[in-house]
Amino acid sequence: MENLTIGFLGLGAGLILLLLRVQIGVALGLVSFIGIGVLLNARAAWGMLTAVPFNFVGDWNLTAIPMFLLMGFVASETGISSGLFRAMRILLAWLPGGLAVASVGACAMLSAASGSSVATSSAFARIATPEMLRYKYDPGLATGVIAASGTLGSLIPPSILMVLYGYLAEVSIAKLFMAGFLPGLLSATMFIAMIVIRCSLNPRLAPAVTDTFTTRDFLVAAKEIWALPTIIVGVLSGIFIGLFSPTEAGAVGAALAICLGAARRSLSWGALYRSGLATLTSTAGIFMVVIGTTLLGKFMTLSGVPGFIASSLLSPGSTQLLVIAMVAVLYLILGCFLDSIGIMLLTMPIILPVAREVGIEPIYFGIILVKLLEIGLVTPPVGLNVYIVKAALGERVPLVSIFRGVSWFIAVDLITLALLIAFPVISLYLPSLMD
Amino acid sequence: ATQEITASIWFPDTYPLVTDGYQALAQALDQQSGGELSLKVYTGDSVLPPAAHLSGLRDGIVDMTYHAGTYTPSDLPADNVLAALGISFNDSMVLTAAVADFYLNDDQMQQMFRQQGVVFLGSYASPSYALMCTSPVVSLADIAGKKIRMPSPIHAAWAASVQAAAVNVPSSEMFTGLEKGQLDCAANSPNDLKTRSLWDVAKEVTLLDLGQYFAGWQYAMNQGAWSDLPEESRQLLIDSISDNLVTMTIAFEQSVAEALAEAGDHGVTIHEPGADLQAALDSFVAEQVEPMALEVAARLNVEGAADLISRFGAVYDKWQGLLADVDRDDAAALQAVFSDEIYGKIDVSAYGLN
Amino acid sequence: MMLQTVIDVLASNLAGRPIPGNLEVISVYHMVLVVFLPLAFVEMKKEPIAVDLVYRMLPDIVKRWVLLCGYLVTATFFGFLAWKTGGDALRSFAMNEMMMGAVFLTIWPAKLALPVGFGAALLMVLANAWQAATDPDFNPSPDVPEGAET
Ligand code: NA
Ligand code: NA
Repeated sequence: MENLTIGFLGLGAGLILLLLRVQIGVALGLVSFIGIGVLLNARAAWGMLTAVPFNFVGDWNLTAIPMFLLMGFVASETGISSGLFRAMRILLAWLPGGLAVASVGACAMLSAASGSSVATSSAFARIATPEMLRYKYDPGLATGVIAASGTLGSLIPPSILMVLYGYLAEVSIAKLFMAGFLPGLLSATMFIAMIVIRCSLNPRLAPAVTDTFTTRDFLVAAKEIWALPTIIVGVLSGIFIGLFSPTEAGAVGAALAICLGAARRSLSWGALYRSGLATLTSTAGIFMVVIGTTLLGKFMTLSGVPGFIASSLLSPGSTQLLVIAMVAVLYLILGCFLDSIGIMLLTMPIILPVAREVGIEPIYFGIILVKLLEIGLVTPPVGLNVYIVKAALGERVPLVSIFRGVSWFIAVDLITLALLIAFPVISLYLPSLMD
Repeated sequence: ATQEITASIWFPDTYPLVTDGYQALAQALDQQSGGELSLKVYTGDSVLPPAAHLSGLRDGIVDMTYHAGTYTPSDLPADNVLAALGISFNDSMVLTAAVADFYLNDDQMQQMFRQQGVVFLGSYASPSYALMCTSPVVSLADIAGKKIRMPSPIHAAWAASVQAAAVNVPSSEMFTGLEKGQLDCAANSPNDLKTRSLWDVAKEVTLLDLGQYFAGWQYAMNQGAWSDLPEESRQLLIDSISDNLVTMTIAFEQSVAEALAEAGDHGVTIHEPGADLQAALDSFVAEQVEPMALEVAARLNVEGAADLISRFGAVYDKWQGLLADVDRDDAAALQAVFSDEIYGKIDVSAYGLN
Repeated sequence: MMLQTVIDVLASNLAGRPIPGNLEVISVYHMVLVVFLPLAFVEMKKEPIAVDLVYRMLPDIVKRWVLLCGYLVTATFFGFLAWKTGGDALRSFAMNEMMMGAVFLTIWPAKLALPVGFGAALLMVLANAWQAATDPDFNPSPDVPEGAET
């Protein structure tokens, strides 16, 4: 059999297993194991099972995930997050979908500190979503907003993806970081606009606050409001002053949450135990998926499927706009079943020469690529950010509802993407000030 | 029939060991074999995670890899003993030649590779490390108290000896570490000023020669894949690697020269190390490095380590002599020496075939 | 893990002395423990991440068969993983394997966490499969959904 045929058959088999409710990590991992065995030989397939799980977990950048999850679980168990959201609900009563809007803002703030989209989503999945559900927000909206806003993590600097792109494309990382700011803010603004419009057209998505509040309520709420911002501001300023790295920030945030919980006297051993346990199961659940997607990435690379798709879409000698359009199609397709870093590594050797040939400005191009990869994080069936939200919430919202909720955000993202492509100045204005 | 060798190197496409190493080798093989022998190169961790470039080679996931030997000290004990000496070398052409010569011919090294089921084919050496800092670090007084990303335990020990703190951050956090001040300096090859944009954040570079890195291999093949190649393909591979190592090493050094030449445009100041700082490094290298390499050997149960080190030292000295009068930019002349003294002597009907 | 990172941050800033090898210990030991040991627990709580879009629409009897086959497929994969990583851990133990970053670190105990985690998950999946086969009312979703419901 041709390698490509094996690759596509493998993808199909994986999809069938997924739909038959085999857990994602196992479905993708098993298909890749068998696929590599057919492509190469049994020894290589077994070898991949030793090469991937252990080495992948030892990745320092991923240590942020359990720590941010712990921070979120502690904040939620000790009532720190519900306090803030109760207060915000009162303060934002005038705004349709107020809590969802607040969540976008909070994710954007953390994005300015964290370099990773999955870390950003994992931090807020547990803090914000349960509160929105408590106030009868539409489950799709309550989860989709976190999965989608988490993707701001890689667009608003710092950003692990931009560091990688800067390295591969040999452009200044500092300029890329500057270039990401406005597109990140634009994305956040578009999300907010969409939420407000949808919620005012259909108030059932986010039930408006009908109670009347007394001054006393405001005072009680105001007392509740400080704890979570204290944690977030503490984490953010620590990163900006250089006290610790974004990766270490998760641990600091978790420790702060525990200290504040203790100070508020809402921290019990039981709460600590439940947070720890929930962190462990969520982390193990997420990493099982990550191991599966990583194995799939290796299998796809060896079978040549991504290269085939890339070279059949891209032909040298096109115009700039055509190249960008084709790359967009390519990344949206690959984004459905591969992780962002994998896509970038696999396609850059094919894409970069074509982009250079037609003379696309590399910083502008990088921002568009990062935005595309971010969209891939929330598209089914392999949407890592969606899985993160799912893992943090357990069985409370079905995966399908999250994907449905996130589809609105994808639609808005496509508009943002079109704006970014049409107006390079959005990406290039800030970096141009650096010269 | 046409043959394809699959290969993996975890550096990205822009790294000299990829562009002037693997990709150049792939081109050379393609041309000289008339398309009969091709090299399919996977970069980054698209097929194997960095630390798995030995186990993946052993298991035949790919036929050929680059491997940073210090990732797997227990699998490559003798290699790691020699790698501990890295801080004391500062001529990458001599080092590349000496490592190739020694690893291809020394019984202890060959036995180590046989045990792993891999066939060593070619070496590499990085250009010398330098200090890339956010504030000027010229003297002993400057370096005291600085937080420095160091590439090895030996370097970390030296940092401690001059009252600096060695910090270990992954390369992906080097840029932000320097930007936000968790790091005051990074000790790496200065081509990273350009490739990793460090010149945006590290404006003070001190050319203190902190040695070179050569652990593991640039080219090694899975034993089965190597012996399955027909003899003429093995010969072609050996000859191409011989020439490739020279041009690759020249290009690697040039990437540093270019980065340093362009650094001024990015507001970087380049310093020579102060006499006291240089003296502190020199005395550390003279007194501490060999005992530390022997400590590594004890930890990894390497027998006859002192002898191993002196045998390698002899080969290094031999190459210093051989290349003393050769112009380092004259690729053809260097290639002639590599071929005469190393690769021309390999018998492809026997080497690596059990 | 959190404590060690926080202490490292404090040590690095207050004393100017980060913990030697902190990065290696956290990324090798803590992460491996956090990621692999709780796998069985994820299975026990029936919380692995899966897509139930099609499954929900199936008739009950088909559901049971699909579920059972799914558990067996999962058990097979965990079995493969446990077997292979177990062999790797033994090899690592036999040679007292180390890794080198800023310090030397013995890594075989961390490698041992993989077969233990995968093996326990395998047993738990088999237990779930047994229940699914014998108990017609078996619910493949988490038993006690927590908190405010939607
Ligand atoms: Na960010
Ligand atoms: Na996706």
